[in-house]
Amino acid sequence: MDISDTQIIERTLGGEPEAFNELVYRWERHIYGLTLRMLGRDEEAKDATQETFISAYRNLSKFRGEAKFSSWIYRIALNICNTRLRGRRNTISIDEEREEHGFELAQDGDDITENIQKQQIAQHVRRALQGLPPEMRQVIVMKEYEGLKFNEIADILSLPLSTVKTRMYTGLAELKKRLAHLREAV
Amino acid sequence: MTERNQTSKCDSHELLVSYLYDEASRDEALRFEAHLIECPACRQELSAFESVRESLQQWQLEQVPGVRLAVAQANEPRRSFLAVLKELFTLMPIWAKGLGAVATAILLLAVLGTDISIGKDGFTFRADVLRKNAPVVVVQPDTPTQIETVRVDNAQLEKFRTELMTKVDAMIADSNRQQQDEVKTQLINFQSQLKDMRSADLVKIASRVQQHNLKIQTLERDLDRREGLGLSDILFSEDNGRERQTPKTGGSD
Repeated sequence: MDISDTQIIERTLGGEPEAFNELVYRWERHIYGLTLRMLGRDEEAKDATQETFISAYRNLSKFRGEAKFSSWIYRIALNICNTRLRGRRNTISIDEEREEHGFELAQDGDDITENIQKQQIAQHVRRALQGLPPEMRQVIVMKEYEGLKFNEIADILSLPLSTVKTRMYTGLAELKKRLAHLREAV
Repeated sequence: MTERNQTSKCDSHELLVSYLYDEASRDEALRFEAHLIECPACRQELSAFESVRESLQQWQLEQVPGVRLAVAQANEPRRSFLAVLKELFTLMPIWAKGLGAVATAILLLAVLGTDISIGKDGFTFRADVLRKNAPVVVVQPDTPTQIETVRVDNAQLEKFRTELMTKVDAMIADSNRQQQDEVKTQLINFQSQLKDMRSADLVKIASRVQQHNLKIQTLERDLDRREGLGLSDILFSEDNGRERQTPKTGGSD
């Protein structure tokens, strides 16, 4: 029978610190995915992931059992990402993006496989996401890639539900513009 | 009517998003579907957003780096300096390890076999641990571009080392002696100051005690005087009373 997150936390706080590693194994993929999509840089995402788990371990005694562990650790990860993002320019205009990276999808006739096309699209999606303001980006990432419900996102961000949905809408509209040239090329 | 105008008039953003992600309730979903029939802008927007979602899903993670979180036991003893160094070395990037290795090698050479000195003959550098009569590089101060090599005997080197160590020991001893003398002088001065302070304090205390004693004497005298007066009053007043009460016994004939 799978042990719950709360039970693992109880064991960790009860004198089995190595039990925390189970939480790390469970959540590292999610946290890494979140940080990578927020920060857009692989090395930074790894650092942020480590920082998240270290911070969670150090503050484990402050975790209140009424909230879900996942919400709590997502919140920590987002705070770390936002701190890092504040230190750099985090929006790229559509024109800048087009100038920097003109998009030409590899054609089938060039003997490029479908996988490489997918990679190219992924690269552009990555850049398009990086062009969004962080407050929109985090809603889209949590919804699209972590599969969280709107009310869960609202809880993590401590925002009203309507604000979360509005940011989702605005973010998707912005991505629609940024990815328009991508859709034209496909 | 442009798409933008239609969308802004719609105000169905939240409903659209809920519907898009299957989070609309049954009633909300029915309401929105009815709206879609009448609103081409929302239809187009919904379709565009579905396309955006498909693009977003093209970015999937292939590999997740394992987070190596070394969780220390609470009751483990504190790590030794060597263990900390070991962990530091493990965490250091390759270029830092390389630099560290180079620095260690230079330090080893410096400790084991090299000899560097600056004298009237210029800068002397010898760096070879294995060979006994290693060449010595001497750089003359006024002709920095000319280099002269001189062969130096090991015995001479040893003699020089011994002389150097003796001189250094002597310098250390001198310095220690000087420091001790200074400390002694300071202690003596300090003691003398303390003595003076003590004497001054004693004089003050004696003077205060005297003042108090005088006060006490004065108070005692006052007290005596008052008591004395009272007693005399009592005494005198009794005598007068007796004189009045007892008649004169001297007889008349």
